[in-house]
Amino acid sequence: MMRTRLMNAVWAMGLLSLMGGCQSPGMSKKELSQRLEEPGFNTVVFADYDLNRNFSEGLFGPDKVLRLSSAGHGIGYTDTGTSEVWLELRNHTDHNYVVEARTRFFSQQGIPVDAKPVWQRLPVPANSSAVYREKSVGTERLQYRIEVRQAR
Amino acid sequence: MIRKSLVAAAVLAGIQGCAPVQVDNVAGQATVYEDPTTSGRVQGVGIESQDVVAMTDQMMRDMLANRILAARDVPPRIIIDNEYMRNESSSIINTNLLTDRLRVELNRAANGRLIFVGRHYADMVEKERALKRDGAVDGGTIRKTQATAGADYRLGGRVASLDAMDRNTQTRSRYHQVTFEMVDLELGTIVWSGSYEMRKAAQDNVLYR
Repeated sequence: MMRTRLMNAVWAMGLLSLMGGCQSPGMSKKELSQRLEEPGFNTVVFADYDLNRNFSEGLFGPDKVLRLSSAGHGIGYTDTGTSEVWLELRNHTDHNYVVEARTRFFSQQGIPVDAKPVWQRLPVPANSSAVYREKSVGTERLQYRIEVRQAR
Repeated sequence: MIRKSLVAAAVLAGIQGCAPVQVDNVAGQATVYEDPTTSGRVQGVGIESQDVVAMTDQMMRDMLANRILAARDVPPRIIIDNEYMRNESSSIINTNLLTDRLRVELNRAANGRLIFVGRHYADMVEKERALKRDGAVDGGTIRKTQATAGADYRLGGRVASLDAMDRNTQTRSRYHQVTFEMVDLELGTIVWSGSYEMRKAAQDNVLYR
Protein backbone atom coordinates (compact mmCIF):
# COMPACT_ATOMS: atom_id res chain seq x y z
CA MET A 1 0.00 0.00 0.00
CA MET A 2 2.77 2.37 1.06
CA ARG A 3 4.81 1.44 -1.99
CA THR A 4 1.89 2.16 -4.36
CA ARG A 5 1.41 5.61 -2.83
CA LEU A 6 5.10 6.34 -3.24
CA MET A 7 5.01 5.28 -6.89
CA ASN A 8 1.95 7.49 -7.53
CA ALA A 9 3.75 10.47 -5.97
CA VAL A 10 6.81 9.87 -8.16
CA TRP A 11 4.59 9.67 -11.28
CA ALA A 12 2.79 12.88 -10.33
CA MET A 13 6.05 14.71 -9.75
CA GLY A 14 7.38 13.54 -13.11
CA LEU A 15 4.24 14.69 -14.89
CA LEU A 16 4.37 18.09 -13.20
CA SER A 17 8.00 18.60 -14.08
CA LEU A 18 7.22 17.74 -17.71
CA MET A 19 4.41 20.30 -17.78
CA GLY A 20 6.68 22.90 -16.24
CA GLY A 21 9.28 22.25 -18.89
CA CYS A 22 6.91 23.46 -21.60
CA GLN A 23 7.05 27.04 -20.26
CA SER A 24 9.91 29.47 -20.18
CA PRO A 25 11.30 29.86 -16.68
CA GLY A 26 9.73 32.71 -14.71
CA MET A 27 7.20 33.53 -17.41
CA SER A 28 3.59 32.46 -17.31
CA LYS A 29 1.57 31.73 -20.44
CA LYS A 30 -0.64 34.72 -19.73
CA GLU A 31 2.27 37.14 -19.53
CA LEU A 32 3.72 35.70 -22.72
CA SER A 33 0.60 36.52 -24.70
CA GLN A 34 0.78 40.17 -23.63
CA ARG A 35 4.48 40.38 -24.36
CA LEU A 36 3.91 39.27 -27.95
CA GLU A 37 0.96 41.56 -28.69
CA GLU A 38 1.45 43.93 -31.62
CA PRO A 39 1.58 47.44 -30.10
CA GLY A 40 0.24 49.19 -33.22
CA PHE A 41 0.11 52.94 -33.78
CA ASN A 42 -1.77 55.68 -31.92
CA THR A 43 -1.77 53.46 -28.84
CA VAL A 44 -0.74 53.46 -25.19
CA VAL A 45 1.53 50.63 -24.04
CA PHE A 46 2.08 49.85 -20.38
CA ALA A 47 5.72 48.81 -20.43
CA ASP A 48 5.36 47.88 -16.77
CA TYR A 49 2.94 44.94 -16.57
CA ASP A 50 2.45 45.65 -12.88
CA LEU A 51 0.48 48.73 -13.84
CA ASN A 52 -1.89 47.17 -16.31
CA ARG A 53 -1.99 43.52 -17.26
CA ASN A 54 -4.21 41.49 -19.59
CA PHE A 55 -4.95 37.80 -19.06
CA SER A 56 -6.01 36.03 -22.21
CA GLU A 57 -5.65 32.35 -21.26
CA GLY A 58 -6.39 32.33 -17.56
CA LEU A 59 -8.68 29.52 -16.38
CA PHE A 60 -9.89 31.31 -13.29
CA GLY A 61 -10.12 34.91 -12.09
CA PRO A 62 -10.38 38.18 -13.99
CA ASP A 63 -8.97 38.70 -17.46
CA LYS A 64 -7.58 42.14 -16.65
CA VAL A 65 -5.77 43.43 -13.56
CA LEU A 66 -4.89 47.10 -13.42
CA ARG A 67 -3.69 49.88 -11.19
CA LEU A 68 -3.53 52.60 -13.81
CA SER A 69 -5.41 52.85 -17.06
CA SER A 70 -5.69 55.19 -20.00
CA ALA A 71 -8.83 57.30 -19.76
CA GLY A 72 -8.20 58.73 -23.21
CA HIS A 73 -5.45 59.76 -25.57
CA GLY A 74 -5.09 61.63 -28.82
CA ILE A 75 -3.06 63.93 -31.02
CA GLY A 76 -3.40 67.62 -31.86
CA TYR A 77 -1.29 70.28 -33.52
CA THR A 78 0.47 73.35 -32.16
CA ASP A 79 0.59 76.87 -33.70
CA THR A 80 3.83 76.02 -35.50
CA GLY A 81 2.46 72.77 -36.95
CA THR A 82 4.27 70.35 -34.64
CA SER A 83 2.23 67.48 -33.21
CA GLU A 84 1.17 67.25 -29.58
CA VAL A 85 -0.04 64.00 -28.06
CA TRP A 86 -1.94 63.77 -24.82
CA LEU A 87 -2.81 60.93 -22.51
CA GLU A 88 -5.08 61.00 -19.49
CA LEU A 89 -3.95 58.43 -16.95
CA ARG A 90 -6.38 57.28 -14.28
CA ASN A 91 -5.18 55.90 -10.97
CA HIS A 92 -7.66 53.30 -9.66
CA THR A 93 -5.81 52.70 -6.37
CA ASP A 94 -5.65 54.39 -2.97
CA HIS A 95 -1.94 55.09 -3.47
CA ASN A 96 -0.11 57.94 -5.16
CA TYR A 97 1.93 56.86 -8.15
CA VAL A 98 4.80 58.47 -10.00
CA VAL A 99 5.09 57.10 -13.50
CA GLU A 100 7.29 57.81 -16.48
CA ALA A 101 5.96 58.21 -19.98
CA ARG A 102 7.54 58.76 -23.37
CA THR A 103 6.26 59.03 -26.92
CA ARG A 104 7.74 57.60 -30.04
CA PHE A 105 6.55 59.28 -33.22
CA PHE A 106 6.15 57.45 -36.53
CA SER A 107 5.55 58.66 -40.06
CA GLN A 108 2.33 57.66 -41.83
CA GLN A 109 4.32 54.79 -43.32
CA GLY A 110 5.21 53.55 -39.85
CA ILE A 111 8.84 54.65 -39.91
CA PRO A 112 10.24 55.93 -36.59
CA VAL A 113 10.97 59.64 -37.02
CA ASP A 114 11.41 62.76 -34.92
CA ALA A 115 13.67 63.34 -31.89
CA LYS A 116 14.69 60.47 -29.64
CA PRO A 117 11.95 59.86 -27.04
CA VAL A 118 12.80 60.80 -23.46
CA TRP A 119 11.05 59.61 -20.29
CA GLN A 120 9.09 62.34 -18.50
CA ARG A 121 7.94 61.92 -14.92
CA LEU A 122 4.28 62.31 -14.10
CA PRO A 123 2.68 62.08 -10.64
CA VAL A 124 -0.76 60.45 -10.65
CA PRO A 125 -2.56 61.05 -7.33
CA ALA A 126 -4.57 58.26 -5.67
CA ASN A 127 -8.07 57.78 -7.12
CA SER A 128 -7.45 60.64 -9.48
CA SER A 129 -6.04 61.32 -12.90
CA ALA A 130 -3.21 63.21 -14.55
CA VAL A 131 -2.52 64.35 -18.08
CA TYR A 132 0.73 63.69 -19.93
CA ARG A 133 1.60 65.80 -22.95
CA GLU A 134 4.45 65.54 -25.42
CA LYS A 135 5.27 67.52 -28.54
CA SER A 136 7.07 66.45 -31.68
CA VAL A 137 9.83 68.54 -33.21
CA GLY A 138 8.82 68.02 -36.85
CA THR A 139 5.81 69.49 -38.64
CA GLU A 140 4.77 66.48 -40.73
CA ARG A 141 1.66 64.48 -39.83
CA LEU A 142 2.66 61.72 -37.42
CA GLN A 143 1.43 58.61 -35.65
CA TYR A 144 2.43 57.92 -32.06
CA ARG A 145 2.96 55.26 -29.46
CA ILE A 146 3.03 56.24 -25.79
CA GLU A 147 4.86 54.03 -23.30
CA VAL A 148 4.14 54.16 -19.56
CA ARG A 149 6.13 52.60 -16.75
CA GLN A 150 6.66 53.12 -13.04
CA ALA A 151 9.23 55.79 -12.18
CA ARG A 152 12.71 54.46 -11.48
CA MET B 1 69.73 37.29 25.28
CA ILE B 2 70.98 39.28 22.31
CA ARG B 3 71.90 36.10 20.52
CA LYS B 4 68.37 34.69 21.01
CA SER B 5 66.85 37.87 19.60
CA LEU B 6 69.12 37.77 16.58
CA VAL B 7 68.19 34.14 15.91
CA ALA B 8 64.47 34.94 16.20
CA ALA B 9 64.84 37.88 13.81
CA ALA B 10 66.71 35.72 11.32
CA VAL B 11 64.04 32.99 11.49
CA LEU B 12 61.29 35.57 10.96
CA ALA B 13 63.13 37.09 8.03
CA GLY B 14 63.53 33.62 6.59
CA ILE B 15 59.83 32.90 6.91
CA GLN B 16 59.01 36.25 5.30
CA GLY B 17 61.40 35.51 2.50
CA CYS B 18 59.74 32.16 1.82
CA ALA B 19 56.22 33.62 1.64
CA PRO B 20 55.07 33.70 -2.01
CA VAL B 21 53.60 36.81 -3.62
CA GLN B 22 49.90 36.82 -2.96
CA VAL B 23 47.51 37.69 -5.77
CA ASP B 24 44.04 38.88 -4.73
CA ASN B 25 42.22 37.02 -7.47
CA VAL B 26 38.74 38.31 -6.64
CA ALA B 27 36.65 40.07 -9.26
CA GLY B 28 36.47 43.78 -8.50
CA GLN B 29 33.65 46.16 -9.18
CA ALA B 30 33.47 46.35 -12.94
CA THR B 31 32.84 49.65 -14.66
CA VAL B 32 29.45 49.62 -16.29
CA TYR B 33 27.81 51.91 -18.80
CA GLU B 34 24.47 53.28 -17.71
CA ASP B 35 21.65 54.87 -19.65
CA PRO B 36 21.98 58.64 -19.06
CA THR B 37 18.27 59.13 -19.68
CA THR B 38 17.20 57.12 -16.65
CA SER B 39 18.19 56.86 -12.98
CA GLY B 40 21.52 55.22 -12.30
CA ARG B 41 22.98 53.24 -9.42
CA VAL B 42 24.18 56.35 -7.62
CA GLN B 43 21.27 58.58 -6.79
CA GLY B 44 20.96 61.61 -4.59
CA VAL B 45 18.86 64.74 -4.29
CA GLY B 46 20.83 66.81 -6.80
CA ILE B 47 20.34 67.36 -10.52
CA GLU B 48 21.37 64.21 -12.36
CA SER B 49 21.84 63.17 -15.98
CA GLN B 50 18.23 62.03 -16.42
CA ASP B 51 17.03 65.41 -15.17
CA VAL B 52 19.31 67.29 -17.58
CA VAL B 53 18.09 65.17 -20.48
CA ALA B 54 14.41 65.41 -19.50
CA MET B 55 14.36 69.16 -18.90
CA THR B 56 16.32 70.15 -22.02
CA ASP B 57 14.20 67.80 -24.15
CA GLN B 58 11.02 69.35 -22.79
CA MET B 59 12.29 72.91 -23.39
CA MET B 60 13.42 72.07 -26.91
CA ARG B 61 10.01 70.69 -27.91
CA ASP B 62 8.24 73.62 -26.28
CA MET B 63 10.36 76.25 -28.08
CA LEU B 64 9.65 74.61 -31.43
CA ALA B 65 5.92 74.92 -30.72
CA ASN B 66 6.21 78.66 -30.02
CA ARG B 67 4.90 80.79 -32.88
CA ILE B 68 7.18 83.79 -32.21
CA LEU B 69 10.29 81.65 -32.30
CA ALA B 70 9.65 78.87 -34.76
CA ALA B 71 7.07 80.08 -37.28
CA ARG B 72 8.67 83.23 -38.67
CA ASP B 73 9.25 83.67 -42.40
CA VAL B 74 12.80 84.77 -41.64
CA PRO B 75 14.28 82.43 -39.03
CA PRO B 76 15.31 84.35 -35.91
CA ARG B 77 18.90 84.41 -34.70
CA ILE B 78 19.27 83.00 -31.23
CA ILE B 79 22.04 82.81 -28.66
CA ILE B 80 21.90 79.90 -26.24
CA ASP B 81 24.91 79.82 -23.96
CA ASN B 82 25.86 79.83 -20.32
CA GLU B 83 26.39 83.59 -19.98
CA TYR B 84 23.01 84.37 -18.41
CA MET B 85 22.21 80.98 -16.87
CA ARG B 86 22.68 81.28 -13.11
CA ASN B 87 22.96 78.52 -10.56
CA GLU B 88 21.55 79.82 -7.29
CA SER B 89 20.68 76.38 -5.94
CA SER B 90 22.43 74.32 -3.30
CA SER B 91 23.19 71.69 -5.97
CA ILE B 92 26.51 71.62 -7.73
CA ILE B 93 25.70 71.72 -11.41
CA ASN B 94 27.68 72.93 -14.38
CA THR B 95 25.00 74.93 -16.16
CA ASN B 96 26.83 74.37 -19.46
CA LEU B 97 25.28 70.89 -19.31
CA LEU B 98 21.87 72.49 -19.65
CA THR B 99 22.63 75.15 -22.25
CA ASP B 100 24.92 73.01 -24.39
CA ARG B 101 22.48 70.13 -24.65
CA LEU B 102 19.59 72.48 -25.30
CA ARG B 103 21.47 74.31 -28.08
CA VAL B 104 22.73 71.15 -29.75
CA GLU B 105 19.40 69.29 -29.69
CA LEU B 106 17.46 72.38 -30.72
CA ASN B 107 19.83 73.11 -33.59
CA ARG B 108 19.49 69.53 -34.85
CA ALA B 109 15.72 69.48 -34.49
CA ALA B 110 15.01 73.01 -35.78
CA ASN B 111 16.48 72.17 -39.17
CA GLY B 112 16.75 75.81 -40.26
CA ARG B 113 13.69 77.16 -38.44
CA LEU B 114 16.04 78.85 -35.93
CA ILE B 115 19.54 80.17 -36.57
CA PHE B 116 22.04 79.88 -33.74
CA VAL B 117 24.73 82.47 -33.14
CA GLY B 118 27.85 80.98 -31.59
CA ARG B 119 28.67 83.97 -29.40
CA HIS B 120 30.80 81.78 -27.14
CA TYR B 121 33.04 81.29 -30.18
CA ALA B 122 33.19 85.04 -30.96
CA ASP B 123 36.89 85.22 -30.14
CA MET B 124 37.67 82.41 -32.58
CA VAL B 125 35.70 84.10 -35.36
CA GLU B 126 37.26 87.52 -34.76
CA LYS B 127 40.77 86.08 -34.95
CA GLU B 128 40.09 84.45 -38.31
CA ARG B 129 38.40 87.58 -39.66
CA ALA B 130 41.41 89.64 -38.64
CA LEU B 131 43.77 87.26 -40.45
CA LYS B 132 41.61 87.49 -43.58
CA ARG B 133 41.40 91.28 -43.46
CA ASP B 134 45.17 91.54 -42.95
CA GLY B 135 45.79 89.37 -45.96
CA ALA B 136 47.60 86.74 -43.96
CA VAL B 137 45.09 84.19 -45.27
CA ASP B 138 42.71 84.35 -48.24
CA GLY B 139 39.01 85.11 -47.96
CA GLY B 140 37.74 81.52 -47.77
CA THR B 141 35.06 80.16 -50.08
CA ILE B 142 31.78 81.14 -48.49
CA ARG B 143 31.29 84.93 -48.36
CA LYS B 144 32.48 88.16 -46.81
CA THR B 145 30.30 90.15 -44.44
CA GLN B 146 30.66 93.57 -42.88
CA ALA B 147 30.19 92.16 -39.42
CA THR B 148 29.34 88.95 -37.62
CA ALA B 149 25.69 88.08 -36.94
CA GLY B 150 23.73 90.03 -34.37
CA ALA B 151 21.15 88.07 -32.43
CA ASP B 152 17.40 88.59 -32.02
CA TYR B 153 16.93 86.53 -28.87
CA ARG B 154 19.11 85.18 -26.08
CA LEU B 155 18.45 82.55 -23.45
CA GLY B 156 18.59 83.42 -19.78
CA GLY B 157 17.57 81.40 -16.77
CA ARG B 158 18.13 80.32 -13.23
CA VAL B 159 18.47 77.15 -11.16
CA ALA B 160 17.02 77.61 -7.67
CA SER B 161 16.41 75.16 -4.85
CA LEU B 162 14.74 74.71 -1.49
CA ASP B 163 16.17 72.21 1.00
CA ALA B 164 14.53 70.41 3.90
CA MET B 165 15.88 67.79 6.29
CA ASP B 166 14.31 65.40 8.77
CA ARG B 167 16.83 65.27 11.61
CA ASN B 168 15.38 62.06 13.04
CA THR B 169 15.73 59.97 9.91
CA GLN B 170 18.45 62.05 8.23
CA THR B 171 16.26 62.15 5.14
CA ARG B 172 16.88 65.22 3.06
CA SER B 173 14.67 66.58 0.37
CA ARG B 174 15.45 69.16 -2.28
CA TYR B 175 13.05 71.01 -4.53
CA HIS B 176 14.55 72.36 -7.74
CA GLN B 177 13.06 74.95 -9.98
CA VAL B 178 14.86 75.53 -13.26
CA THR B 179 13.62 78.41 -15.40
CA PHE B 180 14.47 79.14 -19.01
CA GLU B 181 13.52 82.43 -20.69
CA MET B 182 14.08 83.78 -24.16
CA VAL B 183 14.67 87.53 -24.17
CA ASP B 184 14.16 89.89 -27.11
CA LEU B 185 17.54 91.63 -27.46
CA GLU B 186 16.04 94.88 -28.79
CA LEU B 187 12.93 95.34 -26.68
CA GLY B 188 13.94 93.39 -23.61
CA THR B 189 10.65 91.51 -23.57
CA ILE B 190 10.44 87.81 -22.74
CA VAL B 191 8.99 86.00 -25.72
CA TRP B 192 9.07 82.46 -24.35
CA SER B 193 9.35 80.92 -20.88
CA GLY B 194 9.66 77.38 -19.64
CA SER B 195 10.23 75.89 -16.23
CA TYR B 196 11.06 72.46 -14.89
CA GLU B 197 10.30 71.46 -11.31
CA MET B 198 11.25 68.41 -9.30
CA ARG B 199 11.58 67.37 -5.70
CA LYS B 200 13.76 64.49 -4.57
CA ALA B 201 14.24 62.89 -1.17
CA ALA B 202 17.06 60.56 -0.12
CA GLN B 203 19.02 59.34 2.86
CA ASP B 204 22.15 58.53 0.93
CA ASN B 205 25.08 60.84 1.12
CA VAL B 206 25.93 61.35 -2.54
CA LEU B 207 28.62 63.79 -3.65
CA TYR B 208 28.22 65.70 -6.91
CA ARG B 209 31.23 67.24 -8.64
